[in-house]
Parts: sequence; C-alpha cells; structure tokens
Amino acid sequence: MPASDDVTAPPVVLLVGNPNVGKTSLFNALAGMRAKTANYPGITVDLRKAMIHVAAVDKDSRCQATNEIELVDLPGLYSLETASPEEEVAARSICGEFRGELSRLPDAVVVVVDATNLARTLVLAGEILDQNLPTIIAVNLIDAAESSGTEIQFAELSEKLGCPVIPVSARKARGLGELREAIYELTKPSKPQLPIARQPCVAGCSGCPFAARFEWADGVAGASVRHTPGKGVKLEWLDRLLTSRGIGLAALLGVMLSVFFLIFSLADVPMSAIEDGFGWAGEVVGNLLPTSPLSTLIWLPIATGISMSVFALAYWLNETKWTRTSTSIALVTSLVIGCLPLEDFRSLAIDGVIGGVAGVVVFLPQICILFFFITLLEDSGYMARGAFVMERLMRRVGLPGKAFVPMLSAHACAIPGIMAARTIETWRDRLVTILVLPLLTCSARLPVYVMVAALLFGDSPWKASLMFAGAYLLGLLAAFSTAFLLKKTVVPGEAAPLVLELPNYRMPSLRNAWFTTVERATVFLRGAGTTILLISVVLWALATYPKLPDDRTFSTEQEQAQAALEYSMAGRVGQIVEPVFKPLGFDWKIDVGILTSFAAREVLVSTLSIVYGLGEDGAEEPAGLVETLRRQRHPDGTLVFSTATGLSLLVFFVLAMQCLPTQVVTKRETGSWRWAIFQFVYMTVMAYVAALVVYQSLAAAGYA
Amino acid sequence: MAIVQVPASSLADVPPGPYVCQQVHAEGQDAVRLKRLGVCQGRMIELVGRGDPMIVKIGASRVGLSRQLAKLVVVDSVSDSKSSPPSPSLPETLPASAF
Ligand SMILES: Nc1nc2c(ncn2[C@@H]2O[C@H](COP(=O)(O)OP(=O)(O)OP(=O)(O)O)[C@@H](O)[C@H]2O)c(=O)[nH]1
Ligand SMILES: [Mg+2]
Repeated sequence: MPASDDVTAPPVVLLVGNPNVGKTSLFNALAGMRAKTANYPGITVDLRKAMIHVAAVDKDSRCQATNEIELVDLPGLYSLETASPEEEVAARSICGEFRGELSRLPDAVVVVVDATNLARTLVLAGEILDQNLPTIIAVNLIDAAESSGTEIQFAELSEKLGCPVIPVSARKARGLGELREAIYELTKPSKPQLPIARQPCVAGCSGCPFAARFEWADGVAGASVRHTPGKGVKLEWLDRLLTSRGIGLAALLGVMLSVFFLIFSLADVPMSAIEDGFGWAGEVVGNLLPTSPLSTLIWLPIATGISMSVFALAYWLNETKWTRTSTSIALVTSLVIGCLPLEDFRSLAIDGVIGGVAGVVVFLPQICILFFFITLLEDSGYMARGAFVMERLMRRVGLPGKAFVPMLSAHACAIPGIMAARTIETWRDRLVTILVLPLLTCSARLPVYVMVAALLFGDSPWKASLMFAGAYLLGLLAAFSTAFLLKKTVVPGEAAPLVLELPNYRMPSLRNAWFTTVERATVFLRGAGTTILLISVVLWALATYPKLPDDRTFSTEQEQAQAALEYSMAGRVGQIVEPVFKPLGFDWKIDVGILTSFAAREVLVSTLSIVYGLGEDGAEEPAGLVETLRRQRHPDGTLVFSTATGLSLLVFFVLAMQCLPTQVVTKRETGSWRWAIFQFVYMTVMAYVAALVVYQSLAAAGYA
Repeated sequence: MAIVQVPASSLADVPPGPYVCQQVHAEGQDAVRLKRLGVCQGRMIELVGRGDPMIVKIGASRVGLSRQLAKLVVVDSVSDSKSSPPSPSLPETLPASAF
C-alpha cells in the first residue's frame, strides 16, 4: 500500500501519459508558477513538482474539505516497457521502484490521454490500470477534439475503464475543478484500501502483448467515440511539403535562419541593458566599499560576512548541501578573503565576482529567446518534422535526426544544447551528440570573431562576412566529421534507426512557452552560474597574484595594469607556455588571453586589451583595441597580428574546448568526468593541429 | 486471386497503401520502439510516403520510420489477407482529427 507511514508527507499524485498529450500544460494549468524542478538522483531527468490544493466541490465553501497533494509531471512515455532513460524514470516512479524521492507507490495516478487520438493514448492507460493503483483518466484536448467533430461518451468510457474519466482542456482551462475534485476523492484521508482489484484489461498471455493492448484500446475507444466526418482542418498537404526531400530541407533552413535572426536582433537591447546594469552594480559596490583601510577588527568580520553570504547564495542556487566539507570550504575561503587588503577585496568584488557573473548573465537573453522559439516550434509539432528531414543527412555521420534540435541550440550556447540532447533516446546517440556539440559556434565566440575580423578585414566588409561564414561552417564541418570519426572509433555503431511519432500540428501556446523558458533559464543559471562564479574568482586570483613589488612606479594606470598582469601567475604561465604556442604564431601575450578565456571565450578580448596596455576599458572601444593590436610588433620588427596569426587564432577559437561550464554540464549529463576530459582533449588537440596547419601554410605563403 | 500481390513482403518494398502487419522481426530495443507505437502483429499500417525515412499511419497517428526498421516488418496487403484484421481498423471508427 502507498506507504504513508510518514503522516506529514502529502499524497503524491503522478501525471502520466504519452509524449505530447499535454501533461506539462495540464501541470502548469493546475500548479501555475508554483512548479519546482527537481532532479532525479542518479539519472539526469528533471521532474517538475508542485504542491497544490485539491478540494471536494461543495455548495458551502466554508466547510469545504481540502487536501494538499504533491503533483509530479513525469516525462512522456509510450509504454511501461521503456526505451529511454526518461521513460525509465517515469515507469519506475509509477511502479514505486525508484530509490530516492519517489521511493513509494504513488497515492494516485492521473493518466492524461489525447481526445483527438484516444485509441493510441489509451494503450498506456490500459497498462497503468493493470497496476491496480488509484487512477483517474484525464481526457485532454477536448477543445481540439470538439472542433474537429469528435464526440466522446465520457460516462460510457468511465464504465468501460472502471475508473473516473474527466474531460479537460489544459489550454482552455476546462474541467480543472472536476479534476481537482476527482483527485481529492482518491487522496482524501479516508481513501479506499488497496489493492484495488480490477479486471485485467488484457486477458491471456499468448501472442504479442502490445497487439492485445492495442486491440483493447481500439475496442474501448471505438465504443465511446462518435465522429462527424468532414469537420476540422486537414493539414496533410502541409505535412507532405514539410517532410519532402527538397522543400522540407529548404523550409528547415528557413526556420533555423529566422530563429537566429530573431535571437540576434531581439537580444541586443536586453544584453546591453544587462551590461549596463552590472556596470552600475560594480560602481555602486565600489562606492559602498570604504576607501581608506578600516581597522582589522571591524573589517575582518564584515568582509568574511559578505563572502559567506555570497557562498550561501551560490550554495542555495546550486543546491549544495551544507555538509562539513562544503561548510569548511566556505568558512576558510571567507576568512582568507577577509584578510585581503582592501584594494584586493575591491578588485575581487568588482572584477572577479560581479564581472564574472556579468559574463554569463549577458548571454541569458539570447538563451531565453532561443528556448522560447524552440518551445514554440516543438509545441507546434514542427520539430519532429525537422528531425525527420535531418535524419536523412545526419544518419550518414552517425548522428540521429533528433540531434538537430540540440545542434540548433548549441549555436547560441553549448549548455542548453547539451541539455536538449536528453530528447535523444539511446545512450550512444546522446553521447555522440554531446561530444560534438561544443564545436558549433556559440555566441561567446562571436566577440573573438568580431575582433579578428576587424583586425584582418577591417576595410572590406565582404571579406569579413566571408570569414564569419567560414568560421560557422568550419564548426559544423568539424562537428560532423568528428561524429563520423567517433562512429568508427570510440563510440562505435550506427545511430538507432528512426521511429518517431509525427504529432498533429497544433497552435503553440505562448503561456506554455513562457513557463518553459523561465524554467529552463533557471536551470541554466543554477548549473552554469555557480561554476562561472568559481572560475572567475580563480582566474581573477591567477591574474592578480603575486602582486608587483611596491617599489616599481608607472607613469600611467594602463602601464601598471600591464606590468601587474605580466608579473602575475597568469602572465608567468603565458610566458612558460610560449614555446608551445609559438608554432601557431602566438606570442606570450596571446597565450595569456587563451589561458584566461577558459572561463568563457569572450574574455580573450578584455585580456588582450589589458596585456597590450589599454587597461580594462580598452575592450569597450573595439576600434582602439584593434588599432593598438595592429601596431604590435615582435622584437624582430615583424607584425604580431599578421594574416597568418589572425586566422590561426580564429581557427583555434572555432575548435578549442575553452568553456569549463560546458565541461561541467557534460560531466553531469554523461555521468563521469571521463567524457568531459575526452571532449577537452580531442577538441584542443584538433584546434592545435588545425591552427598549426593554418599558420604554417600561410607563413610559408608569405602572409606571416 | 491476388496475383499481383506477393502474400508477404517487407514494408520497405511495398507501394503506399493500407497493410496488415504480419510479423516484426526486430529484436531488443528496436522491437519495443516499434511495438509500443503500434507496429505489431495483426495491426493495420498504412504506408503514406515512401523513402528513407518513410511515413506510416497507424490508427490516427503518423510515424516516421527508417527503412532499416521497415525491412524487418512483414506486411500483407489488406485485400488478400485470409483473416480479416482482428479489430475494426481504426480509421473507420476514429478518423484522424487534426489531419
Ligand atoms: N488545443 C489544445 N492544445 C493543448 C492542450 N493541452 C496541451 N496542448 C498543446 O499540446 C502540445 C503539447 O503539450 P505539452 O504540455 O508540452 O505535452 P507533454 O505531454 O508535457 O509532452 P512531453 O513532455 O513531451 O511528454 C502543446 O503545443 C500544447 O500547447 C489543450 O487542452 N488544447
Ligand atoms: Mg512535458
């Protein structure tokens, strides 16, 4: 029986159903903004949960009985016999077999079925009814069914199924009260004793069990559905076009280009607003901090306290528990920070923490816009057609057609791309997709491309745009060839052959897309934000310590910054690794930039601006930076940023793995550091070799 | 009487039209992935668009199916299958709604 030994634990109600029947929409309609995304232990599947009130519908609302339940939105599944990790989680939660948070049988199951495709979606309902759990069938999308002339006899259906059947429309918010009441009836304190003995839906054990289930579902649906033919829109012609070889591909290309156009045109304003906002925050913090040193007795507790609260915030965001280790890390670090001289504390707060966080958050608008449009496209049913069309091309290199959505996302940022790879069913295909995704040009690379373009082709826009297109293509080409090589070597085998439902076209709901966007953005910030914070603090320390001896004086602030960086750990490492990067045409200053760009690629621009003596602000004025870079000469008088060096730098940035947050996500999604390290090694080696070839051949041709 | 029809051939080699699935030779995960969408013994399958991947209609839903898997699905044309389809074929009782 559902183990409610723990009296305080609210009843758990699961939302179950085939993919795309509107479980998430129904969940949002019932729970509103109260949803919390939880992560399943062991497997990375985000489950959405919310506490909601369910009530008996009563005339007198004052003595209305209510009950609080925990509603869980499970991933879609076709059958309890599963074919992907997500389905596995859903199936196991239903059977109460999962260790961790849902370690008990659910107190009730709401099976969501699709009124416009009742027979197919009832198959799973049959399987679940056989589990003898308290079950409600919610027939969703009745609005769509009605407008296409389908009538369902709900009383008959309920009798046949032996459980409550509630017609609902998540979109139009119809039937929600009745559904709440039905849930209340099943979960109220004096609920019926288990086990419920139902007639098995499928008798006998001969033949294909699936066929028997389908037959049963056909029978049930056939008896309770009346259809008026000729009503509703027919979109078969559209489907024929969108899945055809030529037009389908062209349409897909058009859709992708428009999404990118929208991302880049709409994100401009919020991005500069965020930049300004963080700049302002930095100033405010700068003004708040005392300018003259306070007595240690006062300052130490203040600084330690500030640092501890940043830790608390980061731990809360990242859902890190306050264990002995994590608490002592936070305490020791905060004490060290408390002992820093005031100037260093200021620089840590403004450049390290605020600047570092700004570096990620600035990409949030692009990522949100991307999520929003991708959700709209997914909801409309188009994405399945896109995957269908791409399957023809991607199969050849060992990628499944479904990898196309993650690849689309990765052009904004690899992290949401890797998270989107969860829709790929088989582990091998998912792994290959994750491994090649960071090769695609993400928006953090763009500032670097812009700089190189201005440097080399500042006078010729068409050459610059050619270079841009070339960089994008190089990333794509590298991703496909790597997938092909992986198929032949490390991750052998073919992509799992396609079996993909092409759902009916539906009008996407803006409200749903908005909910999904907010939720995914939160997951992104939680996952990447804290990593970025950590990395930016570490890099800040590397670029700040050891400090210049006090006896050296400089005429300008810029010169001092330049000398300080040269003297710091980062500067020294840059000089040590100079021989390694020399064959690529990089001098030690560029090497420092490459080192610091491991937090996020775009940091290269600001680092170069410091090492070349322009100070922090140089990066904000690209023209000034480019002019300065153009003037740089090696000790022997040759140009530092020759065509060969510029293009070699570009190729290196297209191919190299320089994004630790992505690596953290790769580790999380693949379950081990092994693949994250593999990804780092293969990409960096490939980048090095490619940049070497580019530089050496251009140098040989006289462009050095 | 059906001279043109080879009694049983694979879904990959037949022209578009309605068929009855006779057998599915797939194994393991592939078998599960096919069967849970309704590609299993005795069910009606309508081939809508040929190619690789192809589009089949099962009941009211459309499914994209790779040729590699379609080869494993043995079908019989509806007219000359000796036993009539075990259940009334879905499109008669529940025509596709949105399509
Ligand atoms: N017309 C109409 N559309 C709906 C209704 N409920 C959901 N939809 C649409 O159906 C599509 C799928 O909805 P989701 O809520 O994402 O479905 P899901 O079951 O969570 O799907 P998975 O998470 O992929 O399993 C979306 O386009 C919704 O806008 C409804 O009651 N009426
Ligand atoms: Mg969902």
